[in-house]
Amino acid sequence: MKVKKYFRPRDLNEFHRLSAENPDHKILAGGTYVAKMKFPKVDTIIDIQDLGLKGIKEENGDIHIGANVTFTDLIEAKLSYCGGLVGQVSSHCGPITIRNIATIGGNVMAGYHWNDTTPLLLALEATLMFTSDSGVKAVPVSSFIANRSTYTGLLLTSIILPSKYKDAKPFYKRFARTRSDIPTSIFIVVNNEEGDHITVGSATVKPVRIMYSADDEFLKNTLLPRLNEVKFMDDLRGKPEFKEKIVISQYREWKEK
Amino acid sequence: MDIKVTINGVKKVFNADPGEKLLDLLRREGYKGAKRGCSTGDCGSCAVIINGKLVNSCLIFAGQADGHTITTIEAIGTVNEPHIIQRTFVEEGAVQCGFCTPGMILATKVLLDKEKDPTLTQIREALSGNLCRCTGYVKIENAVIRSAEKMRSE
Repeated sequence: MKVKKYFRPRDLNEFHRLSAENPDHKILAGGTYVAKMKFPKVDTIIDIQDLGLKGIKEENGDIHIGANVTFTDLIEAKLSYCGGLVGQVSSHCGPITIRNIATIGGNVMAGYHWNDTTPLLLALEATLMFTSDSGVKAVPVSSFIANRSTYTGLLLTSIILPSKYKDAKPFYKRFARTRSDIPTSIFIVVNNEEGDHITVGSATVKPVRIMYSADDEFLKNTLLPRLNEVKFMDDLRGKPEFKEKIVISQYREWKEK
Repeated sequence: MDIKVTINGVKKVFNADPGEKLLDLLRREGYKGAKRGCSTGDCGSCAVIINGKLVNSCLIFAGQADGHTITTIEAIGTVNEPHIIQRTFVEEGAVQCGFCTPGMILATKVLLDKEKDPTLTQIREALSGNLCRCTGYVKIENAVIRSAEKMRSE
């Protein structure tokens, strides 16, 4: 990446103008992804730190998280929402030096689906708020995961966590080589009025969310077949069969509780 | 492009290329305590403190630092008058090759500015972004514990 131009727009109008004028640009949030990846076509960086996307606030029970909120901000916010799950998950998103600059929006947009963030947002049925020069668009995170490329070039401004999980009692297990390493498997259960919802993620492209049913054959007939959608990778963290076994043990641990 | 920062308590204006990383800028301007290790944010040798938070300067574009406050290892004691943390690292044998040491010292400084009596878990968390390939961490952790004790008794 040979950067020839670096901009820090002061408002959204300036951002949209710069984006339009510089089609080969990359949006820079924290920098932990953009700064170390190679983008041969990119010659312009648009740094969004001055766009005011840093707040965390509660509105009618929903939690609104600015896209430029760092993982450290999320930990320090000590949100009681969903039993503190957001802070708990954030504490595993890399070592402290990364969490101090990496942002939740940057993490989602960079496609870091092998981190814990996307499974968290999928588990909580988060809504992603995008803006473009044609207006604002609210996108369920499940749609974003299914069609990521559709949203390339749009600016993620905030993430909304719905009030229905405000008082949920979550179950969250991750298996990883170290506390802050990329997870071998993530297993999250949250409950709402419909029942329990299981989300499984890993160092993979796509986490899955599954409605639990108290059926003796749930593991065999529902959970295991759906795990195929996760497409566990064969990598240094283990073979797909090993990762599947970890998920089964996490499921059993949740069932016992 | 001009980068206006307050670095080690002094207001300065640096000129940087649009794609230049903060680490390269700092080293070019003489702040050589920040080391180039991995260049991917894994080792913490390049760590500096920005607005009170420990970050990897290899992962930050110089332009990101514009308007912010930076502290480098050069502001933490001198050769003749080392900071209490630096003295303790030497006394505890927490320094071998020394390449990771500036980052370790800054990580310790951030921790002890916030927590006067940190637990071992807090120490490990504070040092989680800094790798040492020589000492094996036990002596470093001991040095942080001893530094905290000394700073409390001062």
